[in-house]
Amino acid sequence: MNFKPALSMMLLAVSLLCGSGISTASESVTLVFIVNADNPVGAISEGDLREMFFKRKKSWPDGTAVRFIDRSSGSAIRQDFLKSILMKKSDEIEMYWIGQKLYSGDSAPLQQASDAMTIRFVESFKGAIGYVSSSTELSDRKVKAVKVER
Amino acid sequence: MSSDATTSAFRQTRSISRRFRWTILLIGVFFILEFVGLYLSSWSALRSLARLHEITTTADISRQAREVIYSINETLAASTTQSGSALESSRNVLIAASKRELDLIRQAREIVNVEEEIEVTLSEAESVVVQMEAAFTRFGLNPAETEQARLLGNQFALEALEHLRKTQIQLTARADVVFKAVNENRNRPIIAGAAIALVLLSIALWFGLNASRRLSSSLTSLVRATKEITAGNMAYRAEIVEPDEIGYLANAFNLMTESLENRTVSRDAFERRSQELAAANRELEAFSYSVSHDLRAPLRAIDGFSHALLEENGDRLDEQGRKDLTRVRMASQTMGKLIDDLLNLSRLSRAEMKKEDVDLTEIASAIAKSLKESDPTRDVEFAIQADLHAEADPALIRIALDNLIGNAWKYTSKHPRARIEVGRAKSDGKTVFFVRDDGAGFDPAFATRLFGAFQRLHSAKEFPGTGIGLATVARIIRRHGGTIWAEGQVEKGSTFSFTL
Repeated sequence: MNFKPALSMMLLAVSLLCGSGISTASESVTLVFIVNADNPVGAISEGDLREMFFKRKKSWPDGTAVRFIDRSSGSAIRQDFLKSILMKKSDEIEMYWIGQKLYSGDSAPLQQASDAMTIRFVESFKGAIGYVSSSTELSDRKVKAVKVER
Repeated sequence: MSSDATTSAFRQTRSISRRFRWTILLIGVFFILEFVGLYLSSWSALRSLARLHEITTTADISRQAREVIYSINETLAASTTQSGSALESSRNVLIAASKRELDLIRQAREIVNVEEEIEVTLSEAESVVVQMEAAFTRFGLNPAETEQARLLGNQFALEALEHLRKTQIQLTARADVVFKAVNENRNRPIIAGAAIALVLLSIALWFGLNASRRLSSSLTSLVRATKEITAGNMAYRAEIVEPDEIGYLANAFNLMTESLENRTVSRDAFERRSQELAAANRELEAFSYSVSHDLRAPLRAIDGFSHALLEENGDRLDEQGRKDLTRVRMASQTMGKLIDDLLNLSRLSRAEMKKEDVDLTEIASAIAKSLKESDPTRDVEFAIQADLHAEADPALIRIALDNLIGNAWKYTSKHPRARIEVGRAKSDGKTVFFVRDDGAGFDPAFATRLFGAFQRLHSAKEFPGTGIGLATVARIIRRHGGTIWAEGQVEKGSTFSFTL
């Protein structure tokens, strides 16, 4: 049983999808990326975000494991995330993770419905990263917003 | 080379039995070599099969561990609407499931510890499950702690599942590699076994042919010697090709031939001597016959002229002269009878013997009848056993019985009543014929002298006769290959027994 060629093709397809047309993403962002307050990182590139979401980048520079927390599939904020950062449609993402389950064993990140739960998740793990609405109050929480660089 | 020296020499040399022992040892070594070769060539395949078994076992444990994670996820999902004791129950389930998960992962790590990549993945899974178990200890304490535990539990379950899926994928890939190795090497044991067997068989064949050639050469030499000696070439000796058992046999054969040669010479000399003796005996018998025959003529002349003198001039002789002349006649007649008996005895030895089934009862009865007719005044009872048969010359056996029964008749003549018995008995498994009477008998001390010529135990006045009769009987019995003996007591009769 040789799954490597199939895996390579799947990864190639995803990278092509991911690499195409990052046009006006930064203008339409209404979300903010947050990390644990203990995480020394202050800024993150869109590319790293995509890599972390797709679990191709699994650790932070200090070695802490990356734990990406996604949002509920039908939520507006997720649509925004898909459109601005991943530049993919929801079904494309679903298909990707089906492939990953079969060929690399990776699963799609957990999803949280609310900003509050997302914040609680990020507070719980030093290497966690998630996104919340830009209007969400982050003061007095053990999280911090990171700047997204193109 | 003397026999002892030869034996010693052969003991110190190679031998077939030693060769056989070496051959058996060689076969044993070949067998071990073949076994070792097969084991070594199969070892890789066997090790791969063992590895395959480890992989499939680990894959099954990994499947079980994933099932436990699914259960944890279901319990976590159900717990969102639970409270109170149900929540407490879920907490217990989650902790127990975590422990079970930990056990399964550790079990898998133990089995598959030589596969480094898989071991690393499983150790990561173990680390995650340890954290998950710790998270579940806070489950159900209060809503905030429960929420936190659920949040962490979900993430850890997800990560554990990912590690287990990766493990499964790695196991599958590894199984593929191992199976390919087994498949590629599947013919190696057969090829190696056949190659080793071919080499070893070639060596064994070479040894076998060599041994066979040597053995054949030695045996051919011995067979050739046997044929030569059978053909009469007693001087021929077997060639000793190899100093082994066959060589030893050939040497013994040569010694035997030598001895046989010497004995054959001795036997020839013995046969020559026997022939000379037989010739001398024949000449002696012929001389005896001639002398006896030639003696008869002057005896007849003496008797005839004495008779004529008595008839024609008896009246001119006084009483004493006539008595003396009568004695001369009687003496010459006795001597004539003696010569007749001697001639008969001589004829017995020379006559050709023809054995056939003889009815002894019939012969004995005829003799008895004749004797009774010769003197009807005597009161003699004959008891002749019926159906007495023997393999014998009819003429000779008749003479023998005539003498024996005649003797019985003669030596019972002093008794007013007598009984003569002719019969058969068994002694030491042999058939013994006998002639028994209740007459004068004899002194047992002289029993052995009875069968000599001219041997008499009674005087001629008492019982007439020449002393040749029993000697004749003994000679007839001996010519038949039998034996004769006599038993008796004075005045208590006698028994003459014989075998044929």
